[in-house]
Amino acid sequence: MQQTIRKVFLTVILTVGIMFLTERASAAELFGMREFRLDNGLQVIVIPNHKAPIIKQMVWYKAGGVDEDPGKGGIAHLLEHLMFRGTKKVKDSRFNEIISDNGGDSNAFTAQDYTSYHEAVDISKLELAMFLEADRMQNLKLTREVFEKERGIVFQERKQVVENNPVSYFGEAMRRTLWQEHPYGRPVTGMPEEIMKLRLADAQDFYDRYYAPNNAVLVLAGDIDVETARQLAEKYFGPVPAGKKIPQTAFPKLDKHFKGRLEIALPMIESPRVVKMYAAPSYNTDKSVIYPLSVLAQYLGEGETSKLYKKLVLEKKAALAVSASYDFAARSYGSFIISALPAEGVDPDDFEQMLEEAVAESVREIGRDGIEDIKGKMLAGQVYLRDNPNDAAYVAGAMSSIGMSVRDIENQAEYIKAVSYRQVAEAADALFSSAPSLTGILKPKEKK
Amino acid sequence: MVRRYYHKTSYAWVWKLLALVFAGWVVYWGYNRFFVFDPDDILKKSVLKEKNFNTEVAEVTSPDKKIKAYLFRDTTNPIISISFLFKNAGVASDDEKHIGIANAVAALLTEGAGGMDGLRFKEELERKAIGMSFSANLDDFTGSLITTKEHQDTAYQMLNAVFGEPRFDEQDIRRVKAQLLTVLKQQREHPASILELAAAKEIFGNHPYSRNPAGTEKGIGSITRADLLEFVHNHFTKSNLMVGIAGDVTEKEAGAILDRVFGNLPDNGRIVFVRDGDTVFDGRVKNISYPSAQSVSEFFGRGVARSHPDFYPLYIANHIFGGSGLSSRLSLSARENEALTYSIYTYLSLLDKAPTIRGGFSSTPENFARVMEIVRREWQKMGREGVSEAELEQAKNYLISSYNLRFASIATIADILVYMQKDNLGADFLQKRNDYVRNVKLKDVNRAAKEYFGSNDTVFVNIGNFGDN
Repeated sequence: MQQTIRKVFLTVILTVGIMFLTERASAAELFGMREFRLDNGLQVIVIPNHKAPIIKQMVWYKAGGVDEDPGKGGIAHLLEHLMFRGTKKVKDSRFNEIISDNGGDSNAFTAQDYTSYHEAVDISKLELAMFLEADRMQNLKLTREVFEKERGIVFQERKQVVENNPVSYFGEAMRRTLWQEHPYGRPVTGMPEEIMKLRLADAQDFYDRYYAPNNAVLVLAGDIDVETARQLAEKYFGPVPAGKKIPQTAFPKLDKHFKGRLEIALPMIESPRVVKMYAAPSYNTDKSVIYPLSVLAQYLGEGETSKLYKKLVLEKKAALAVSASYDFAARSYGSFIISALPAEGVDPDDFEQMLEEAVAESVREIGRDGIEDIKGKMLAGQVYLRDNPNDAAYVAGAMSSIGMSVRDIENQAEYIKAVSYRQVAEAADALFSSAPSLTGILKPKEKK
Repeated sequence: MVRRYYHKTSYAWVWKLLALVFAGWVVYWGYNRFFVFDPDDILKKSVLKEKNFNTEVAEVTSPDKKIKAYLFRDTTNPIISISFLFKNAGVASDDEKHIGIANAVAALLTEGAGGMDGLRFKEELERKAIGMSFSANLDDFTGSLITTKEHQDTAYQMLNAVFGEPRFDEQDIRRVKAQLLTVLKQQREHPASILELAAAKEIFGNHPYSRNPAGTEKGIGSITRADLLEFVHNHFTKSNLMVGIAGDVTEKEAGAILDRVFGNLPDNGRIVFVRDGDTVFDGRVKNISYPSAQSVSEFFGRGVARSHPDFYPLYIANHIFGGSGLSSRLSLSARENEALTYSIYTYLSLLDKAPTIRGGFSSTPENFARVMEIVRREWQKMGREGVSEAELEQAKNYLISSYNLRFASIATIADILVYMQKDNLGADFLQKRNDYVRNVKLKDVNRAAKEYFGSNDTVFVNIGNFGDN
């Protein structure tokens, strides 16, 4: 639509999610979600929230940019656009019109690991939205005419979102350098020349391979009870036939000795940025360290009370901002990112050294009390996650799509509580000494 | 004898025709029935029906200081959200010498209060999961507080201290000024934000709305601690305060919260009123050359204030024109049919002193002129022909049925309560709003379309490659 999100954006959402975990809920679940599976393999997650008579439906396909064949960059995203352009039954791009005639908002986004379609509607219109999603799960009808139009639109989207924004452009270059041959290195939008070479058959092929109930998660968050949700899911999605065996994308391993450095100078840049990106363990590669690393991110750089903020911004006055984030919700590697804005007059190369030292110092200072305090902050306010059904659907859906179990999603507070300061220190040592990493510097190019 | 020859009339052709019409109807009906999707088929059989939703808003007055607020009670979760607004305390009211001060105050208010310095203050907020934020838009200064019931006492006490004893420690002032100056630099890093500032200058000229909302280098540089304290004293008063409270709070509790949080504010201050804007919409186009992958446009026409009788008719006309996402006329023409752009939109900008219809798009240079031509063509068409009965119906359907969607989070609800007061909509607005939309007649919309799209011209401000030198 619709939007293309990159992993960085997801990180923000997930860390916000994690910030709002809580202590008051010793036994409390994060969302109060329920799960069941239809015979055709569709995983259904229901998050009742009766505040208002509204509901958010999201259908997540476990297929995204990483599942594209070489040279077909952008096809997952282009298909996402085409999904609004008509099926055998709902012809002539009427999808949006029908949803909006019924007071609903619909959109979609493509990420590296998945593609998600969603509608927010009054509860009385949910069945219509369910019909439409189930319909386009199996009956998509592509024509050359709409294909060519949407290809033009996604081309424009890439120009607008990436190429007209030097910071996005820098982020893309960093991912390409760190991930190299790994599909996380490819932009979800595809490169411009790739986009224009995509063909109708490529979209059809991707759809046939990956769009099936046994490769999808349906999330319903809002004014509905589990039993009604079950009946309606059966009614609308039950008849959709399961797809053949879904091909599993194999992910290459990165060279573990890789420590890269990328410097980009652009004439429009006035304020330098320094970013360190680590290929970190994820839920799928090493579950045992994801909570220690989450605590580490909070300790180092979440908010203006974090260790790095105190050292670099308040004490040394070398930076104007610094932050750390960690995303473990990925099908392959996770990512740990530290980014900073050096202060005026501080050379970015010198700053790189200072950042390095501040991180090392902070890791040495990890102690029991400090970590208990950090965990307390992470656990405060879990109840906020139960406020907005749209946010709940998003966080729960993203985590389920990468294969996280409902139990693991709901019990994150418990896992965080159990983290010891030693585990944090060990995870930090392992990350900073042996994870593949890249330091990126974006700086002004001297104008001639 | 006259023989009369009667022409023997055969009615067979009538029967044939009727049979043909009937057969046609059967085919048409069958096609529609079996091959064309009718959403109503599903909705009629739906087990989920419309529900009554209680959106009652209480008008609360605090017992001691008689501070008024709107309250929306929602006990789903043990959380409380408070939004507030100080009217006419926004960037446009900044003192000429200190442009950017409202923004600087917004950034500095969470840097400590009373006995707590910035770090301790923020530690406390994080530890108790209290969200506190401030911001300044062109017209007003706004803020919000979100807290769990468990820690609400701390939250109210801290917000009260922010108003009564803000710290403004020198080192924080220095740091925040440096951060704000960096924001000014970052604004110059990409075409869309360069355009935004240039467009404000072009549209508002010497009016304070032409200011950079982040401030100016000189203005930010000159701000002292005394200036900040004076700003707080002059702008945060009971007379220009509006408060919305949503969440797990009774009316009685809400009254007490108002006294606790806002009770110590002075009754009045010294507020600079901003004059009306005097933009001329004369069809001019300003192009700014810039080396970018896409050229970006912002365009403007005359609009109406929220309280103006033409508001709803124009709101609907704009919805059809460019306000309804991918189904709008602009989107259908420029995006869905011609694939010239990824996004194109318009909205009613409701600045107090210069409301406009405002829109934008971006497109690669070879498409750009064509998109502009479409905007102009559709703009004129809207002025000339207005909208059809079917379009009006469709717009109303969306605006009415989507209304409940805005009650998804209590923070949003608290914001709505504030704007109901700012725009004088009344405490029963949430019950009446759908009728306001329902009662708009085709002739109202078309009169507004003619008035605002027809007799006025646009101003375009563009940035990018225009094939010149």
